[in-house]
This record gives sequence, C-alpha cells and structure tokens, in this order.
Amino acid sequence: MKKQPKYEIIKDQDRCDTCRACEFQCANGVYHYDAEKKKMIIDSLSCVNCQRCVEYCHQNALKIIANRNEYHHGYWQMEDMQEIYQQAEHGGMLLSSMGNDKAYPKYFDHLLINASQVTNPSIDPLREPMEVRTFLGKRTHHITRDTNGNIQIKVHPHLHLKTPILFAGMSLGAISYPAHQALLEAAKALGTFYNCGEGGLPKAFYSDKDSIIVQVASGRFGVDPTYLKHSAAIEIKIGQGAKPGIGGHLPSRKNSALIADTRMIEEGSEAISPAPHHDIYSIEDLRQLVNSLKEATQYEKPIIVKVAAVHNIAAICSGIARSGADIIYIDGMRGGSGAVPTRIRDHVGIPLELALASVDQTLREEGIREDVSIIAAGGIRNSADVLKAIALGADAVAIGTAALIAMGCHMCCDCTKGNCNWGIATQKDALVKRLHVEQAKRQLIHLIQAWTLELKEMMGGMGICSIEALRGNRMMLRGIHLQEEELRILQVKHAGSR
Amino acid sequence: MKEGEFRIPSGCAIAALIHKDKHRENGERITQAMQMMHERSNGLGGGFAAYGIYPEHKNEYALHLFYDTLQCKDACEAYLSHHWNILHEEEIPTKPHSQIKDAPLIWRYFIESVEHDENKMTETMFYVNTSITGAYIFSCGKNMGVFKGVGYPEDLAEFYCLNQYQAYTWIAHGRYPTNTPGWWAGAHPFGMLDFALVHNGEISSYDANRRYIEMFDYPCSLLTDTEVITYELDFLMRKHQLSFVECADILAAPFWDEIDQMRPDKKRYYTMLRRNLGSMLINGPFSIILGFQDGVGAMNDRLKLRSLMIGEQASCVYMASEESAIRKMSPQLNRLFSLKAQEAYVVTYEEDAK
Amino acid sequence: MIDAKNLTASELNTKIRESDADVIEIQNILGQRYIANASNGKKIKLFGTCGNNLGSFLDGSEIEVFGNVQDACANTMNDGKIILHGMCGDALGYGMRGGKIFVEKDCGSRCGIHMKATKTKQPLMIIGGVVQDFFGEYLSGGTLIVLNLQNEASCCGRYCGCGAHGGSIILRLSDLSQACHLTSQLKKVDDKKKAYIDQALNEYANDFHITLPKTMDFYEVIMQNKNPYERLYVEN
Repeated sequence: MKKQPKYEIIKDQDRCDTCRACEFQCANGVYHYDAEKKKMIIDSLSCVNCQRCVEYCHQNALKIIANRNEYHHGYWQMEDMQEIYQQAEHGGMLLSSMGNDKAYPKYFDHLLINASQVTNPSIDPLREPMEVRTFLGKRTHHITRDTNGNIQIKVHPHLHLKTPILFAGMSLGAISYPAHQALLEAAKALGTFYNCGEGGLPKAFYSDKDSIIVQVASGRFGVDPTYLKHSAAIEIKIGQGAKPGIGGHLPSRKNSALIADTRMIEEGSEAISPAPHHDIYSIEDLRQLVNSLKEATQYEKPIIVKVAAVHNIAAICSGIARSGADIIYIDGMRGGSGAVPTRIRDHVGIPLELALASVDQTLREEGIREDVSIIAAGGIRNSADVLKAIALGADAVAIGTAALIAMGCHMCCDCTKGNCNWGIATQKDALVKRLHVEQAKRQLIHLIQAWTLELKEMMGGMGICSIEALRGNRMMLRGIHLQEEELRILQVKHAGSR
Repeated sequence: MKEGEFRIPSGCAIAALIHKDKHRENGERITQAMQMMHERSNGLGGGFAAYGIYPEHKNEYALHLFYDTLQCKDACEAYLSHHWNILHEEEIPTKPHSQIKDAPLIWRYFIESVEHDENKMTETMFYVNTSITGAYIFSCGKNMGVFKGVGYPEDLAEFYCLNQYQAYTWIAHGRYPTNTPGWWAGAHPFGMLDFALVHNGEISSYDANRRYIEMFDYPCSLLTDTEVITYELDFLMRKHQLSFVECADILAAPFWDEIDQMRPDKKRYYTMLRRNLGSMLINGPFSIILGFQDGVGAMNDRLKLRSLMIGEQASCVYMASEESAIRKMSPQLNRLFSLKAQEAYVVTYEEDAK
Repeated sequence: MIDAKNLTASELNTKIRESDADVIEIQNILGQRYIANASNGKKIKLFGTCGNNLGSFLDGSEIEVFGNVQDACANTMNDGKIILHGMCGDALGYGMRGGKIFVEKDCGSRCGIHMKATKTKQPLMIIGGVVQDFFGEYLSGGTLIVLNLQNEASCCGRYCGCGAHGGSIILRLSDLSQACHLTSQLKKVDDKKKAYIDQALNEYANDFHITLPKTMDFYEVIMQNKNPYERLYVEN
C-alpha cells in the first residue's frame, strides 16, 4: 500500500518569495528549490509537522494541516487502517514518541477549584505572605526531648524547593546536550531541581550537584560512586508513565561519543534499559536497593522511587513507602518518552489524577502518608493542573513535556527519527546547534515563574497562604461531569453539592 | 442531612472567665458576656464549658450525652455499662425556654475511673459518636462539663440553668452557622476528656488537617474546624506532651521569611517543626480558647484575622472576641490587651488552688 | 446627657440625630455598635467601651471618646474628626478618604488600609502608641503617623505598608531599631512634610492636653510599588 502522507502543507504562492528558508530549516527534506521552475517543491510525505518552517517563514506563507485525503468507516478510522497497512508491510511493532494522545478523560479538566468568600477571607499574594516553599522527604511525628527539655524531631534528608515544580528526568540521548544545560541552569535559577534521566550525568555539571537529581535506572548507565555523590537526591527509576512494564532502547545511531561517554558505554553500541531492574523482582528487593544506595551515600540524600501509574498503584506505593524510600514519583499515562511502542503508550497505564488520589488516600488509611513525599507527573499542562495535583495529595509535580514545549518543541511526536528541527530530540550537531541555551533557559524560567505566580494567586483566592494547607485538601476541589465511582476514587464531591 | 454529612462554615463569638485561684461562681457573668456579643451569633448554636462543677464526683468521668430517642439511650447504655462501671446517672436538669426547641434527651453519667484509662474513654467517645446512631457523647471530662445546643448562648444558659452551677472556669461560644444544623451535637464547645475548645473563624486548611489527624484514629465525624483543632491539640498535648505554647509553634507557625531571619537555634527549632508537622499548620482565620485540666490557653492565627481581647483583674482572667464583653464581666481591669498574631497565652491555675 | 445603658445602637443613633445640643454626651456605653454612623454636623462625647464600627461613613461630625474602641472604627470615613482617649482594635479607618483620627494609645492590626485622597480631601491618622501588623496596607492617599510616645521596642508590626502606592506612612523613631519589623526602606521626612507634621501634631497635642517631646525624628516609609501590576500579566 502506498504510504500516505500524514500532513499536507499549504503554501500561499502569492506570499512566497522563494527565500528558501523552509528548505534550510527542514531536516526532513520536505522542501527543495527547483531552479528551473523557480519555485519550492514540497514533498509532504516526509513532513512530521514540527512547525519549524511555519515559524521561520518570514512571509507567513505556510500552513500545515492533516492530510485531507480521507477514507474511513464509522468504526474503522483511517489511522486504524493505516497502522494495519504499515504492520502488514513491515511486520514490526509500531513506534511512537511523547505521550498518550487518545481521547481518554482528562480528569484535571473535570475538577473545579474553590475560592473563599464571606465566610473565610481570600488572601492577596502580592501583599501578604504566600508560601510555596516545599520540602520533599520523610516527615515524622516522633517527638522526644533532650536533657534541657527542648523538643527534638529528626529532620530526614530532603530536597528544598522554592516552588513545587521540578523538571522530570529525560535522558541525554533522548534529548540534546543544550537541552540538558538549559534545564539545569533554569533549575538553579528557580530553586528547583533538574533530573539527568537515565543517560548519566555530564561531568561539566558536577559542580551544580545541589540542583541535580541523578537517576538509577535498570540499565545503570553512568552510575558509579562519583555519579551518586554529585547529586542532591537519587531516583530509582522503576518505570515511567509512557511505557509501564517495558524498558527502553537507545538505538546505536543515537549513541554518539558524548552519549557513550556520559553513559559509560562504548560508542555506537546499543543502549538497552531492561524492563525490570534485574535485581528487583519483589518488593523486598526494592528495599534492598534503597538501603544499598543509602549506605553507598552515607544516608545523606533522599531516595526517590519513580513508578508508572498502573492498576495496583496504591498497593505498590504502600510497599514503596515501607521500603525506606523518601519520595515516590508517580508518572501517569500521559507521560512522554523519546521512543515507545504505540500500543503501550496508548493503552497501558492509568491517568495520573486517579492514581494520585488513590495512593494518597491509601497511604493515609494505612497511617503512612507522612513517611514519603509524593511527586506527581504525567501530562501536567498548566498551573491549574499543578494546584489540582497538590489538592489531590501530591507534595510537588514534575514536568517533562511542558518543559520541552517551553524550549520550542511543537509535539510532532517524531522524536525517534532523531531529526528534531528544534534541536531538542536529536544528536545531530547541525540541529543541536539550533537550541540556544540562554534562550531556552530563559523560557523555562519564565514558564515556572509564571506558573508559580498563578499558583499563588489561586491559593490566595481560596484563603490558603501555605502550600502545606493545600496538600490533600480535597474540599478545595469539586468534580464536574463525573460519575459517582470517579468522584469516589478522587474523594471529591460534585460541584453544587454541600 | 445532618451536620457531619456536610460542612457548615460559621462565624462566632467566644469568651472565657477564669479564676486562677479556683474560686467558683455561677454562670451569670459569662452569660452576660455572651449576651453582649449577641450580634456575632445568629441563634443557631451556642454553648458553655464549666470546670469545677462536680466536686463530689471529681475523680469520676462525667459524661454528657444527647439522645434522639429512648431506644438510642438504651443502646448506648448497654454499651457503656458493658465497658465501664456507671456510678450514677440522671437527666441533666433543664428549664423550658420559648426560644429553645427540639431539644434531644440530655443525660449525664458519672463513671468510675482507674489509672491510665484516658485512651479507653476516647475510644468510647469515638465509638458511640460514630457507631451508635442517635447517641452522642459531647462531654467526657472529670469535674467539668459542656452544655450546648441550638439557640443563642444566653437562652441556652437559661435552658441549662447555668446559674445553678459553680465553676472556676467558664468558656462560652455563640455560633453563626451558614446553614441550619438542627443537630445539637454540632454546637460548640467541642469536649473531649478535659479539653473544651471554642473557635472563632473558618479555616481553609480544614481538609488537609483532617486527612492528617485521621491517620491517628481520630474520627472527624462532625466535619467542624473545632473538632479537628481539638484533635490536633489532643495529639500534641496529651499524646506527645507538648505544652500549649509549643502547639502554637506548630498550628500557627511563623512564615518562612521570618524563620529565615531568626538566629540559628530558633531557626533550627521552627524549621524542624514545620518541616515535619506542616500538615497540622492551620491556614485561615482562627482565635481559639482551650480549657484543659491545668488551665486555659488562647491562640490566634498568623495573620490575626480574628480579634481576641484578654483582660486581667485580681486573680481573674477574662477573654472575649470583644472588649465590651470583658467589661461587662469586669468593668475594672488591671490590664487589657489584644492577643497578637501567632501568640499563645496560657493561664495556669495557682499551685495551692483547690 | 444620654445614658446608653439598655439602649440599642439604633436607639442611640436616633437620639444623636434628634439632639440639637451643642455637645451631645453619652455615658455608660458598653459594646453598642455603629454609633454615629454617617453622622454629620454634631459634636459628640462618648464615655465607655464603644462597640464595632464606631463612626463608620462619618460625614463631618466630631466624636471624642473617653474609653476604648473595638474593631472597624471609622470604616470608609468621609469627613469629620475622631479623638480617642484610649486604644482601639483592628481595622481602624478602612477606606477612609477624609477627616482626622487621633488615637492616644495603641491600635490593633490592619489599621489605615486603603485610605485614599483627592486634591481637595486628605485623610489624616495619628496614633500615639504603636500599631500591629499590616498598618497602611494598600495605602493610596492620606497621611498616617505613628508616634510611639512610650518608646516601645517596636512601633509597628510586620507587613507595614505592603501594597501601599500613594500617601505617606510616617514613623517617629527615637532609635532606628524600633522599625525592626519593617521590610521597606525609610527616609527622613523633608522640610515640607515636617511642617505639615508639626502642624498636625500641634492640634493633636492640644486635643489630648499633652506636651510632645521637643525633638522628634520622623521617617517616611518608601513606597515600593507605584505600579504593582506592570510586569505581571501577559495577554492570552
């Protein structure tokens, strides 16, 4: 079957002045200039709709739409048929990038936020203190007194954040070196944390260890005592929302010298992250790894365990909370990835909102909610999502996709080709150069600052001036257009009810 | 729907009268103080706590209960007598009052107490209040009692014949709920063992506080701020032996930008508390008065969003939402001041007071 | 002479309105609220503890109180004068736009919030004692003066002048440490302002029959946010 282009490029011929910027910018070879005909020839089959040409056309002559060649049945959509054609042709698993794009309910959009009126005053964050300072780590109510009668409570190793928003781990390899630089610099400026992902930590970043979370994933890439030392926290990555249950694979063509060096493997080799950690086959094995890491770092750093949101996430997190881990990172099904089998991306895992509500509730019922802090991630799009996640029980949120978009990503979801025109999901030097660290850093800082301002404004609106009072405060949310069971799981009443 | 099935925001008036030397008086002055603040209530709730009223039973638990019906009373008594030795029981004397309607059955029981049975008593209170329908223990201290219901406090004082009781400490509350509670148990003070708490304000951190304290088996069945604050104080003061002032350092903790400026030992202290016990931090306006065995404490929120005045005269201390209520109780005062933001003030009974 | 005992606030206000005495005297006030609200053209002397909202929307009358005043006094006061021989509670003069309030002793929190002025009308508030948190919050016009005549360790609480964008907040300091809770900067008042202050204080001292210290150093709080919303929004 002839492969159909996914997109159609519409060029306003009157506006085009054949400056050829589109040709120079497109790494997918969509445009070329025909000197004879004196016009741009467009081969839309290669177009991934990354919007680079649209942005760079100084005449605003370009527009990209879905291919208007349509054929479908009420049940069998064009996409369904095309996927069958592809698999019939090649015999392989369909591969995608970024996060689940299916029309499952977006629960954040079914939650409404409260505001104070009359019976309780709202607070103006511009005038009065509005505290979003967040600590991630164990909390204890075990109180003793010293010989002088002073209260003593142990302060466990923790992360101190100026705002409850962190950057999610995205490996060097999946994204480019300047992207990592921008994320780290922005994290430093904002008083939050950068996560190096499972691709190891570039040596140039070592001096910024107080802003770095290092990841110990199943491939243990780049993990040695020096790596562990140069961090503020260590994250054991069990799974991620985009691909629960399966591992990762960085193809050899993306394993450049820099990548290989950082991962401490040979250049050009396949970099496989197995599905499970092959030393964690049962919950007690996790405790073993947690303790092993704590011993290796002399109990100075909090240990984070990152898991994908799956059906029995509440029980899993209960086990993690009892394993000695300090922080649980829950990644919902909308989480992104550089490369993931399409079916896994779109059909495995559950939404963050339900997972988070269920975990928070379960941990409280078991009396162990304070033994861990919770980071929630997976499709956080704006500050309202941040606030709702905290009200559902998270201590903080992490953003991956939103951070990439802030740096210029246009969600073409074609990261696997390695031709990212924005210099983000690529290792090709010519393309990597397009991502300017200073500008990307500034954009990230602006995004988080803007979200933090909005968060404070909404908190003030509901009469809250400290983030601790928002955490798990379900009464500040009401559901809309949700079924009884959904409301029950979210532990949220329906809008309009008392 | 009953209160407890949904949350009723409310505003209020609070007051207290304390004799440091434990000299006792009847409920007249405190009632006049509440009458003075009539406008702060709307007649849908009021109540009093009185300490020192049962000297002949002072080592026994004095349980005050509401019953919807005689059947509920039977069910509850069956449970109580199974677990405790009931020494004496009687209906709490009341006088019909034109403004007080739909009163439940109101009874009191004097129960034998042995050492270290506080947890057992709180378990009893929690069990009856969550599992025996139509029965509610609203006071379970020793030599003290709560008297409350739906109505203006001054009317309830008459209804309960408070001028027949002699107490060394009176604490009172007038409620302005935004809904018709109808259920007497929802009125304030909230009583639990020797604690009686009154609260003015509505806290925005309620659900965060509730979901924390419920982890320690405190059932928030009334869904009121007063209930959750009392539980937090019980957890800290009785279970962890913190003083009332130390509780203020947690419930009304200073802001981070103030903590950052403190000298190292204070900074360490406040950071340690807030870092670990931040889920008990209260946001939103509150002024509270807590009666307990050794004295009475008053506390304000961090932004001082509700007023609370304190007056001292001879060996009496007066507290109220408005100065005029204090002046009504005592026109002359040695000292009168407003409780500052975040501040905790404690009155302790004199050593030799009986 | 009116005896306020057993009179409600409304009854008191009716008596005030109906009285044509040069000076209306009311004794035994205990907690009555809303006294002299929107009153104009009267001179009133009050004895006792005045309840909340004394002189709210005051429209030109002069009130002298011998006793303390509770919360929300002079709410949205438009014109007139209040002389208070005592202390007052929270939220004094919220939204005041004209007239004068002189307090002999201490005030509570949130006094002088969002006071405003026009070319023809300037409110003035002078406190003889100290003030608590949020003094002059959102101030947009008028003059606030804290004298701290008892030389307490701190003359004002936290968040003094937060959000203020007009008007003047003036602190008399015998030692700079008395402004320890202040987060804004201070500057010494200029001669023009000093002349205005001196004139106001003359009147103040007269009203309370006191002699103020010969040398008094006045500092003005430097306003931070002339246009607080400037960089905050981006059009969507």
